[in-house]
Amino acid sequence: MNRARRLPLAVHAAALAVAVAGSPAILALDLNVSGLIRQEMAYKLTGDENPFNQHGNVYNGKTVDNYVHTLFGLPPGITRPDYSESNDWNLQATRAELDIQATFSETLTGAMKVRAFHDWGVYDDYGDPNFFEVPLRGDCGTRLEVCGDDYMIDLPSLYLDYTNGGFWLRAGNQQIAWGESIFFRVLDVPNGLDLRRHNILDWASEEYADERVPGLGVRGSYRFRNNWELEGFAQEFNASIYSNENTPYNIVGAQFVRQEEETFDRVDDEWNFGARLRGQIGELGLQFIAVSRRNPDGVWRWTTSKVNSFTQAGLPDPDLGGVTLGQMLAQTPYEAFTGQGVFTAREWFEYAGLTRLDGANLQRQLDDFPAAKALTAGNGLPTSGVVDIPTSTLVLDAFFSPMLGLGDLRGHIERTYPREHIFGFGMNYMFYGEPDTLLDQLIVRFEATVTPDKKFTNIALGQDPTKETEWATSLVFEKNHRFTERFPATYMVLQWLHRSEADLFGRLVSGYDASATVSPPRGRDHYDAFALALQQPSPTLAWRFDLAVLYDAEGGYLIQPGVRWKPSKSYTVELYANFLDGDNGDAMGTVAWGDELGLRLGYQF
Amino acid sequence: MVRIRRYHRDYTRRVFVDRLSRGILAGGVLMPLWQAIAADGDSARAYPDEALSLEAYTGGRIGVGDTIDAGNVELVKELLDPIRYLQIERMGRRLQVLDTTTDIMRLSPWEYLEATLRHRGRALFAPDGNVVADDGGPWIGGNPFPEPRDGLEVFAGLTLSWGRHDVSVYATREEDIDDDGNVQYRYASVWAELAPVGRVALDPRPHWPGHEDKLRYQSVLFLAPNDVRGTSFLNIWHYDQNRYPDLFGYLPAFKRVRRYPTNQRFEPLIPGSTIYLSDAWAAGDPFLTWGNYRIVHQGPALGAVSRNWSAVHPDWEHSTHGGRKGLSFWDTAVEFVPEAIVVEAEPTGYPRAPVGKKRVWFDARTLLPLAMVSYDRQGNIFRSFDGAYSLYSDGATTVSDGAHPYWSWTHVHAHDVQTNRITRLQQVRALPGGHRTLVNDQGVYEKYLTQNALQRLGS
Repeated sequence: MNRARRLPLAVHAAALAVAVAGSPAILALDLNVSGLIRQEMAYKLTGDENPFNQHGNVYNGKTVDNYVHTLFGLPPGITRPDYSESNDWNLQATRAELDIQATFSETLTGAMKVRAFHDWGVYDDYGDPNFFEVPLRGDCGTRLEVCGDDYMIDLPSLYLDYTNGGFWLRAGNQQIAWGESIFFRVLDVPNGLDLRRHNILDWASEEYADERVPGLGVRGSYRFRNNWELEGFAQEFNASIYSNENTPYNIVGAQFVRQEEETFDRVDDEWNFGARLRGQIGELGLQFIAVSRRNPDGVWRWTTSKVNSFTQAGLPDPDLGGVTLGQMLAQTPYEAFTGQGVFTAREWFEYAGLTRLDGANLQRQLDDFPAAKALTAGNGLPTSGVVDIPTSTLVLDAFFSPMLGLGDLRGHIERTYPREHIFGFGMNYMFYGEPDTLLDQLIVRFEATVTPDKKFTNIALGQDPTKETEWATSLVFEKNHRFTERFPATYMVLQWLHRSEADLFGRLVSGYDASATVSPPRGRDHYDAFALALQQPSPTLAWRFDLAVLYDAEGGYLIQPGVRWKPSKSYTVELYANFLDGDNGDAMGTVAWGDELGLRLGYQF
Repeated sequence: MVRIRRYHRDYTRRVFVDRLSRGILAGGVLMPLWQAIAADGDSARAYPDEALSLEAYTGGRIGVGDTIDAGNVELVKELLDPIRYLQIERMGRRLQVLDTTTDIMRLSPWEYLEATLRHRGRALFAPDGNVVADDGGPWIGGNPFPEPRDGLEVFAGLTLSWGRHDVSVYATREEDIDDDGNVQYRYASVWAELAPVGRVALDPRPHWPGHEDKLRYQSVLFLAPNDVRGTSFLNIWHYDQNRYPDLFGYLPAFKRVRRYPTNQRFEPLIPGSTIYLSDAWAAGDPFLTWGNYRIVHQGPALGAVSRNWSAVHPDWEHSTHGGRKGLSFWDTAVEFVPEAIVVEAEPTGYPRAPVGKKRVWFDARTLLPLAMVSYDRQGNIFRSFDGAYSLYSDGATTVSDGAHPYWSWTHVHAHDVQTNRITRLQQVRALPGGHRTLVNDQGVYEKYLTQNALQRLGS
């Protein structure tokens, strides 16, 4: 072949050759788009309503004696208006998600998730509850969220990833999950939780994927010596988001008025920072963390109502000599004449117990709010030693008396977000034994954190938070074990959580075990809970049977059996039940009303 | 012209039967196979002409260009594993017949074969059962036992290097077919493997310093559909084949990488699939966690060992046929493989595995697996795994691995005959999201094969 002929052939061959290796670093924009639409519902299995809502208040329509009335010979019975409703559904909502992954080059990629959630509001509830608007970032929970009474649309993921060798940088809105314990958040401290959609009662094996509150930030890591990785993040602080009052999964008594806007505005430009070192030494995996963050769950305390209840209600405001009663009341945590407050001392103590608070300790409030003390003293009521049920009952029922006092009162609380520093470590270790014995390939994980001088909600809702150094540990045993040749292995996890000061939700255990007749709370020394999770897939994995159990050492529990059916590439059906029980001596009592049958029907594309 | 047949079909068959009965495993009939290959890369001289042709084997009834189907499959029953035979006889599977490829360099990656020749005779078993080079270190590349003496050596060679490249990323589409022949599930995924030892093309070689105690880094990342998007698993194989790989996984629900037990290798990773981790390359587990290796058959076979690349499709996708809906099987071209070795092994390290034993058909020339059939604990036939290979070159278009035309697998069937479910896999050019088939790119380690990568790629 002559040279003149060879050259065009070579050019032609080169043009046709597609190099798999050594491809150019710059690619055209390449998108991967997928998504889902899902109907999510939860049908109530009992007639119990959420007691934290007006329409589930356990005193609705009940007559309770006012102690002060009995002293003055007045008709003793006070009857809370009956706002009761009976619901069949706890949840009826539609979710749509759109995921887009973009590749800009070999080193630069990006991702965006759009999440839309609409609650159909098929509930008989009190008033016109607002499911999604919260006074944090504007009227919504995060910066990249739009919301209304019954919907929210947000971007839980919107970030760019840059990688270069062992270096990785992610910038944008993102969730950060650390640690290896599931459900028990020991090292998983960077983000708070958004409980507006289904609280923590959705499909348990998804853990907090839908709940973690994302934040704008930068997360980067560098891998070195093959097995070690140093990671750090700086992320704008976002608060945990609680369900609003009178919505199905509300966990804050609706007699409270939550003031969250002003206190969040004080810290809305604050950032959280964290670092993690993670590595592997043989069978031993290790990680160490240090985090400086604003506590996303916050610390609750009484705050002034800032409301002149008389003016607001169009009532004459009694002059107390240079100041009116309404003005004085505005400088206390209370708001009167709403019909939505606490009606009797008994209801007060009952709900203090439900909320894990010290209802008997009015002294703290009297000391924190001079106007409250003045009003109390002005009515000849005790202003010292008000730390037990008899004395507090006298004060409370005097104010709650519709004849002698103000009638029902709502209490205003605010949430602050103290900065705290968390130090922790985690380890995992794989045990080996004879093949297919129970100990073979058993993974043991242990995680521990310490938060020096952590600030907790004072159980009297005092202005000064309770400071304690908190230790949190989790011990996890995890294993796949094939019990029979006919079915794939059963995935089993057994976990133990120990916290020295607070429960699963961050509430001080000293506020445990109070009731309408017991206050101050008896408290607990510490918090211990156990979790068991089992997953048994069918041979084709088209079916998966789940069981998740959360057991509080003091007796409360969540048992969630479930089945997931994926009959085809597009459809998924998940059916599960939440069986809950507990009382004021354990954590699960807060949601003990919520037995339900959940169903999710999903179509993905 | 009358051609005198010096060796008829029965001569070759008698050679194989005689060797099997005497427990001898030796490649080649006329001369040692690898002596012929070493001479000029052509395996043909090791076999008589009559042992290189399906036409000769079938007495002229099936030849190059013909189709094997239900009407003629009886003629080649002994050349097929029992499940491929069943698929052709009862389910409408068809195989196109090609002439036999005798140029060994078209049957595996160039560098791998060169290393195999270069390192011939330098492999041995250490007291702990692992393969080491004559310097006592990890194996230095290529097949350590190109002239295997027993089944263990056959499996050791396959397990030490699956894809025969130092680094491979397979952009993969999977379709799972139900009993009625419908596509029930579709998945897109990326499978990555990197050899830190025994490297034949990439520097540093033969070993990547600091990683000599590892045999393989391997991960799988699912890209679609939405519910599995971002799910990924990273297997880090120890060089010590007595140990199970370390397994790390990222599940979108957990948003983080966690370590997982790894001994459950006999179940699908995703709903509907009939492929187990243990099936990978018919040698998906450390070879010392299986045992009782033995040669159960030697003889010719039909294998899809070359020319199965779909160059006509821009993403290299393949067409299908067979089954009730015409969707059950890839269109596949096979050729007459003059000598196959069938090795049986038992999962001795997995007492509750649903598999009681497996049989793997190897091309004696390349020691690549042609097909695998497994049996349940009761001895009933259970599942099969058969793949097709090719140079990614059709004369007009060539995909390069950097220095030579890219060689790899092109498509795979996995068939559970007890439930009659079939999984079809195919290697494609690219998948949405910027994931492409790659070869011998060391950057794959950072991109797919670290815990950091799993976290980054997760959704």
